[in-house]
Amino acid sequence: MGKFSGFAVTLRHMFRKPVTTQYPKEVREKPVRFHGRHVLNRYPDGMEKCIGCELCAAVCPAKCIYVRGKDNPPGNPVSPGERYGYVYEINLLRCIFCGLCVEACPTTAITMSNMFEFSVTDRNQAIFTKEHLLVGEDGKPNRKLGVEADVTADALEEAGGWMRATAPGGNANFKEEVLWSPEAGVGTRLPEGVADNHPRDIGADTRSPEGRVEQ
Amino acid sequence: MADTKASPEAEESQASPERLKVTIDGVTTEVEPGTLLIEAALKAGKYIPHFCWHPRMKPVAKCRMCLVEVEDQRGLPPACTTPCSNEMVVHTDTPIVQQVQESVLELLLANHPLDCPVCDRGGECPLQDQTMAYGPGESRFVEEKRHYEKPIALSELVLLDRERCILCDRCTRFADEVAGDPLIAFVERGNRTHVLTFPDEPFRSYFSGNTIEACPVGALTAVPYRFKARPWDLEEVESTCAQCAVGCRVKLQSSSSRVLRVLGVDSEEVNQGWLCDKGRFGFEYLHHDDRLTAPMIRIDGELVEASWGEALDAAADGIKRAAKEGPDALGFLGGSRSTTESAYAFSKLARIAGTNNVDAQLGDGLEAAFLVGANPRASIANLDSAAAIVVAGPDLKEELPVLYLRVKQAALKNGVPLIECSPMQTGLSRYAAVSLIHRAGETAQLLSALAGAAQREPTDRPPAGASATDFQRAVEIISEACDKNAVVIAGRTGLATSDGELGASATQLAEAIGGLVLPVAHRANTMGALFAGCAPDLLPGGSRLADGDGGSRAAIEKAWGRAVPSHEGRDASGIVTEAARGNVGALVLMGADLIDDFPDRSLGLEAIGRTGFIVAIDIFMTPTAAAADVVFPAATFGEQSGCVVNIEGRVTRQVAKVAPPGSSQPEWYLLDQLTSRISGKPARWTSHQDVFEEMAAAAPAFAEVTRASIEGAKGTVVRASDTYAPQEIEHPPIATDQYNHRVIAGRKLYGDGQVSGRCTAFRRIDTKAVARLNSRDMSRLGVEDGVAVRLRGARADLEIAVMTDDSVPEGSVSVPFNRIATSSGADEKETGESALHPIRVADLIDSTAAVNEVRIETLESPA
Ligand code: SF4
Ligand code: SF4
Ligand code: SF4
Ligand code: FES
Repeated sequence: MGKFSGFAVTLRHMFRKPVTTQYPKEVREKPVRFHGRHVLNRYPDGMEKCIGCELCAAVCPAKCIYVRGKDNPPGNPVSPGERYGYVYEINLLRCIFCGLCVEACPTTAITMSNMFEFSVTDRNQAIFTKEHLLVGEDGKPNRKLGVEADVTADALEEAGGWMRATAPGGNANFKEEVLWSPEAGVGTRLPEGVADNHPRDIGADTRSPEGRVEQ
Repeated sequence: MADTKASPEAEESQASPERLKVTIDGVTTEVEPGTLLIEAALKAGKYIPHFCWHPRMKPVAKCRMCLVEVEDQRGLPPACTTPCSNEMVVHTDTPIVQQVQESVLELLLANHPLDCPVCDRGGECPLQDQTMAYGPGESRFVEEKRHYEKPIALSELVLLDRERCILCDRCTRFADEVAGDPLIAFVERGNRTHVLTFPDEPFRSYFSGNTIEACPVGALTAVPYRFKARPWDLEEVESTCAQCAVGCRVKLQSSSSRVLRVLGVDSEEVNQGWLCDKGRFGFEYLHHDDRLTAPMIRIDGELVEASWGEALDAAADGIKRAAKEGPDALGFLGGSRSTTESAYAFSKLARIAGTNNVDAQLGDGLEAAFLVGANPRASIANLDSAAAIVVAGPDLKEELPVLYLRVKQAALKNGVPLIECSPMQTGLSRYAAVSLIHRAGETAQLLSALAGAAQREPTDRPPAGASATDFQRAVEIISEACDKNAVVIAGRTGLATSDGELGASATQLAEAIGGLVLPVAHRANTMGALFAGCAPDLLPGGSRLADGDGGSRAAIEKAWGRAVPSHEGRDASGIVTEAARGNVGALVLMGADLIDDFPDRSLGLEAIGRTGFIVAIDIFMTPTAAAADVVFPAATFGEQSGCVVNIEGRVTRQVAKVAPPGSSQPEWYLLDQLTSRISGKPARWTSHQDVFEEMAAAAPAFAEVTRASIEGAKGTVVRASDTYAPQEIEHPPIATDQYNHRVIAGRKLYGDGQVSGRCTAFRRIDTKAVARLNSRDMSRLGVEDGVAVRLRGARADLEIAVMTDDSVPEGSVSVPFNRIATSSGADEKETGESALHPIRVADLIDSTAAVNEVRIETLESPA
């Protein structure tokens, strides 16, 4: 054993291809079920999927989601059905990226994306609000708001893509078809016209919550 | 779930030879004859799933969820309607029962929308829970479900989602059976059956909120709570409602330090689970932007924010300055809206400052000695088994709604004959055996006459214009009920009449028939404040100041380290009258608004104008607070802990749940600071419990009342050390003027006050004030409904729309005291500003008169 035998390993490795990825110049392929930061999805017609049911908040083991629901404005509903997510916040400093919120969501409104770069300079910035989380009308995530590092182009551009990665059925090739049955909240048939003699206009217009105490 | 508890009657069964032995799933238990199987099962610790059965309503066996197997019996009987029989052997979980439960749930869910994620009930829903526990797991229905428009408003407060309804009949049964307002019913048949109101008649019941709580699904939801939170967000404490003096037990639920919901607690002694809508929905004011958040002092004529230290110094200086001019230069009003601890601190401050001029009632109640010392005093539960009930007081439905439910239940369910002595028909008239409608302000005369007649003193004619036949019937009923625990409910019949001798004559009547008295007051903690000594002639514990026999007075002087002033104090009317004459140097008002609460508004205004120094402790900038020199922001219901005393004398606890706004403090805290500044001794209390302990030590009446004994719904009943024994009663003659109408000024449940006016829920409800007149008076005047007339009173004129209402007798006019009468009042409500201008009913009233009368004049038509 010469004194140089110890360098053999070093030498061998000098001629190997390096394993280091030149992040951020190079971006590694992420696994299809990668648990990145959340997005709030829309239906193809632009309606928000979130109905403000707080199930995600209820299941979250880190207690990092805060949701409050509200009546959909009658003329201009935000989501199908009666209720929409009016406040939606996730504290990503607390989130453990377990994905339970995604599993709990009855409308696949919340899913996880490939986006993982969200270093912040202020703790408050780590609280992602609906503004950050909600995908645009085009179905693409909002990658600019507030958090600068969150700008990397990403392979999965459409909301449906993230949904695929976290399809509740577990099938990575899952496509389209949301689990939100059209019956819950918005029937495909019109309601039966039996309430015609009902005194409608008696002031309890819940849909314009005038002067209500907001959360 | 409230309804999983056995009804207390079932639990408290006394030993009797005829007890039945029932074996449920191998557990044998003994029950009273007549017990339903479902109740027996609860007693045996077996839960039988159910939807339509409710422990406080008649069973109807509609949902079929409670089917059980009974040995030697064919078929599966519903446990909710099957009475137990001896040696019965019941199985609740055999395969056949399970199969039936699965089928029932499958059918209930066939048309159920399963929109649990958006449903307000989701997470606390009996249908969800029982589907999880007993359901089939998967549905075989693939067809599209039935659809209804959702939700529809049944009233300003209740929404109905007919898709979710499982037709259990609880809401409709409640409305009919319990509330007596059958305004909702099932319509259509078969698959299309649903709950609905009648055409153009919304579900405007004062008790509508109870249907929401009773509904086993999310079909009925509350407008104020709609989408505000989900059950798992809510934290809850048990407390006592602060809206009226019945003192219903409530669950106070909050999220993020905001009260979001109030639910009823089934307390057999008080509310049996029910609440009125004012108690249930009247909490939104707590988080109103108008809440006072910092102390204020007047500098150069302007109220400006100040530090607590500055404000306390300013208040103490002002009080001390006035105190130099003798005890009558001071006046302390209020306490009936606070906890008993705070009221005690208030009464102590008054006495330390050297005066007995302290009153928790604002000239709108009865004699304090009667309210605390009524003897023998009835409890609410005594009503159930009373031999007769005499109601001489306000319209219980409007002022003490849950007491109304209890009286109604006694009359309707237990067949207790009800005698109503009222200046006009009330919510109870429907259930009364006799309604002695008489001239306003002469209720005391009527009670004395009844007492006399019960003792066989002949009366030629019943007094106060009551009908002779009705009077005769009433006498028959009370003679029948003699010595069998009849209950006389006595309270102020209205604010336009002084009802001076009512307490005495009610006591006289109760004595004559060997019955009990239940004195009633309006504001939530009036009794507590009086028990704490907030009355000129009472000391803490309800002992009489004048007796001075050493006993209680010595204990109090020992606790305070100071002599209690012995001059004769003035009550609220006396203080305000003196203040209006400019004889009062300093007024301290705690939750007392002389402009909107005091029955005589012009006197109140005058008093405020002429008092040199006013300290207001309040939660809003009331018109009075706006005129004060020092204003302290107070914590209120849900923000401070303490105890309250209801009309029976029952002491229960109010528990803090949310943080008070800004730097608001519980009143006892700032009163302690003031006391220390005035007496020169250090402040003594750091928590409400310190106050409680000092009070309990000082007042012998509170000896039984310990912190442990007032935990829970039952609380402890406190009795005053000195009982009320009226002197010889003399009814001063009342001069009547044939051309005038006598004013009946009662309160309505929903008013326009500082608190109700700031609850969004009630602002949807029409609270316009109208004057009600008998149809004969209407035709004599030649006016129609909705036309404005002028009521010309001794004090002011009031223009108000009239409405025909034959429940008002001829020669009287009924006006709501707590509503704004003129159109300019609407602006005040909008902005919550303290405009002094809008004329209110209180402007008409001269509180020094025994009765108030007005002339009614038609206005010239605008042509
Ligand atoms: S991923 Fe897990 S920890 Fe993060 S928000 Fe969802 S449930 Fe909460
Ligand atoms: S994201 Fe989904 S689970 Fe969360 S509130 Fe919205 S709809 Fe409910
Ligand atoms: S609305 Fe609710 S309480 Fe009324 S019948 Fe339907 S399920 Fe029962
Ligand atoms: S609970 Fe017995 S049938 Fe509904």
